[in-house]
Amino acid sequence: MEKITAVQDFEYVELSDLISKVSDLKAEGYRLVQICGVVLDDDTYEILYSFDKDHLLKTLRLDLKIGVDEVESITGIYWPAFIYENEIHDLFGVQFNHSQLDYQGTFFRIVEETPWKPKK
Amino acid sequence: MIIVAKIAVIIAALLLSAVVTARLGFFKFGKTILGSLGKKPATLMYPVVPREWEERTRGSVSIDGDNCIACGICANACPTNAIDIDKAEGKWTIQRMQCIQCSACVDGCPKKCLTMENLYTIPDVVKVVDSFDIPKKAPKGAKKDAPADDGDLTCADSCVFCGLCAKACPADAIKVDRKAKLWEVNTEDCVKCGACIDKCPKGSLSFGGAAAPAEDAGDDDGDLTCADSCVFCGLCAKACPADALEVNRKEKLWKVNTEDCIKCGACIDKCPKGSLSFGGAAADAEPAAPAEPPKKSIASVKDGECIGCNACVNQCPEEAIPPVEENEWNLEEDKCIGCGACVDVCPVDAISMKEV
Amino acid sequence: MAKRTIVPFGPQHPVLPEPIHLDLVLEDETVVEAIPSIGYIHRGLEKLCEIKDFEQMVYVVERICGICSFGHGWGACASMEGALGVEIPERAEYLRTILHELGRVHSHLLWLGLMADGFGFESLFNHCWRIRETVLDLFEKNTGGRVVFSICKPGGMRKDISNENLQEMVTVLNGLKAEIKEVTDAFIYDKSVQNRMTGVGVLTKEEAMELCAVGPTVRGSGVRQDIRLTGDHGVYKELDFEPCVEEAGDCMARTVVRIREVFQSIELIEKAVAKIPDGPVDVKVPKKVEGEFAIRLEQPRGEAFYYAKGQGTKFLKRMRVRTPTNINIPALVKMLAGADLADVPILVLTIDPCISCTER
Repeated sequence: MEKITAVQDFEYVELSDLISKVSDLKAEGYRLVQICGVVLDDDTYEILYSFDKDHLLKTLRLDLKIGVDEVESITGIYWPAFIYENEIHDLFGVQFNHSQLDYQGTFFRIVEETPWKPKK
Repeated sequence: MIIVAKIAVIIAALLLSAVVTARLGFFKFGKTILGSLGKKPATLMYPVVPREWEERTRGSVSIDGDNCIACGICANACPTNAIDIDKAEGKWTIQRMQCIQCSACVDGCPKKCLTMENLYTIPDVVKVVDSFDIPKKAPKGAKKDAPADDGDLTCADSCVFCGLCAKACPADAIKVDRKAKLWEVNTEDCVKCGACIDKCPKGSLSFGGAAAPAEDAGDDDGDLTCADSCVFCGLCAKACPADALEVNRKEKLWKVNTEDCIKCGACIDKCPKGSLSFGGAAADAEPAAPAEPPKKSIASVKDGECIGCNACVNQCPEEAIPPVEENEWNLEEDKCIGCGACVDVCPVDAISMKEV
Repeated sequence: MAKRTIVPFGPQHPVLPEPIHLDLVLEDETVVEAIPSIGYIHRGLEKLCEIKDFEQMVYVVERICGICSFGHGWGACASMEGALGVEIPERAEYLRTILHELGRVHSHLLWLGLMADGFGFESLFNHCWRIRETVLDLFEKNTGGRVVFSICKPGGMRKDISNENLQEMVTVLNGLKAEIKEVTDAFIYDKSVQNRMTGVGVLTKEEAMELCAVGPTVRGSGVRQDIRLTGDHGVYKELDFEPCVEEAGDCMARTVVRIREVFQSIELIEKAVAKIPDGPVDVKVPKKVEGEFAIRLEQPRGEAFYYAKGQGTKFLKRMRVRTPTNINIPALVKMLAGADLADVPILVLTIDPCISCTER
């Protein structure tokens, strides 16, 4: 049996290039798969934007300084991104600007605020 | 007339469509419904009619306490921390509400004393905690009467960086680099099982600081030598972490590469005949090893105690033990050289040496 | 402009045992806008994965959902096998495929029952679940669990399933086909069912793609999208797999997709059992996870995404699970706009929502 492992396509993207890069992907016909936050260390988050075209996965990697960087929302390009952006906002405390559907932190009803944010 | 005809056609069409719909829809499903009227209910009259369990049904964990060695593997494997083991008190405790019946403990148990029963625990209004008696046991690692075992794993200066502890560690928590003379333990990964302490040939390891002194730290000034009592079984070469030993049974050859030898003493501990020593005079066989036989002795197994783990089969340097099937243990007596390696490796102490 | 009313839907609603809250903005009887919010059952399972070692973690991930628990276990194992660089034996890959498809049969039968219950056809609901019971018995016989199977582990399967048992599974499923056909025909041909579902909640092909919908929701709108086509997981490449696609995009089309998938899954199981090779079912895996791996799986509800990132110890830095319902919520919101209030329960059901999955 020929085993095909899933192609791992990760690409770094700068904070300033995010919107143009995502717009390009949208124009090429990519579909948003998910957005995921990762705590790299006490000062850095990594946000992964995964896209799919013809069943091939492509992931953009974005590094963020915790408490400093604010991200431009991609809901203007991919409206369904509001689910993930609000989730990351509520769990990690990342600020997304110019969101088309901003729950202002009421998307998840959780007791503790931003439980994933590293405690200093 | 035309209007009447049209109405008739419409009625006919409606009837037809109704019939088609009914035939495909209601009547088809109606058959199932009507059929169900004559059948018994699909449900069981539980608990009057008992439920039949499958062989693999995971209901609840039970323990055969007599065989438990309090190794703690089940408690470590449990994803919900439902199992507690009190070695000193001899108690094995499970919180039934916490248990998720994943059977990770059962799979991990080296003594196979845990089983997954088909039956669920009986419903209750309180969170049931079941406690079972297991043989009491001094905490592992403290058997050389080390003072305390509550601290982190530490290594004394007598360390020769042989790396046997790192190999023995089930959690890969120890890092040893002989060249850099580095010994490191990752305390987060360390599960404090004590496997390394048992393995360490120099007795340098302990929990919480005070290392037990090396047992035979006296005469280790000379090179490794082998006495005439050698049977060339090759166990010393297998035990050597530095690959410094060469043994060839057919040519009756025993050779040590003194440059590679790090004098860890692992081979001395392994030697079934007590032939090895540092600096000439062969030490006597250790008291823990099987008593040295006067002429020839062979391995034998106590009836009904073999668990069929095949550990001895793999260990035997002479391949004198054929693979154990259905706990039927056999020995090809003419091949046995009486080295006693199988005795050491048997997890249930079922093998002993007997004279012939 | 007609007077606007806001009607809260959920978190407790008779049609759906799981808590999702929708604020429905109504004009007369018509929904103008729906605003979803969740978070009633956020259990922090992704966070929990950080303090469980990667072998224990499988049991945690499996409990994200009680319906697609096999898929979740597989996804977690597959992502970690990728990160570890481990290749699992062929027989294990076959067994996983078979159990996953069996899970699809049980999930779709469960959903069909819920849907029947949703539009008030109680006896249909009972019969769907009666049939599903046989499938659960198969699971219990082969894995030991009816809902949570705990049979996947990083590196393969914890238990082998004998060829006789697999054969028996095929025989039982083939025997079920006639019964399943009887009840599913009631969905497709019954006039009253058609009245409730045909033309309701239409999602066009363009909308479905724009909203990034997945699974039967998008396949019901005529998009040929199925992660089983990638061949990343399972042995679907060997089984001549072709997804079920319906064009209409309404509730009925999505139901038909699922009905066809039930039969397709049974066929896939039959083909896989005929082809399954003998051999070991697991390999030893390293004790420390380094590197990262992203993999997707086609769950009964649609594409699920798993991402594992190691940090050189036995604990993972991050285990991310994106479940299908999560990304189908935007499609649901879109479907609700313009629908009648009375159709809202059916539309919520039509994406096969699993809120526990969504919140993890």
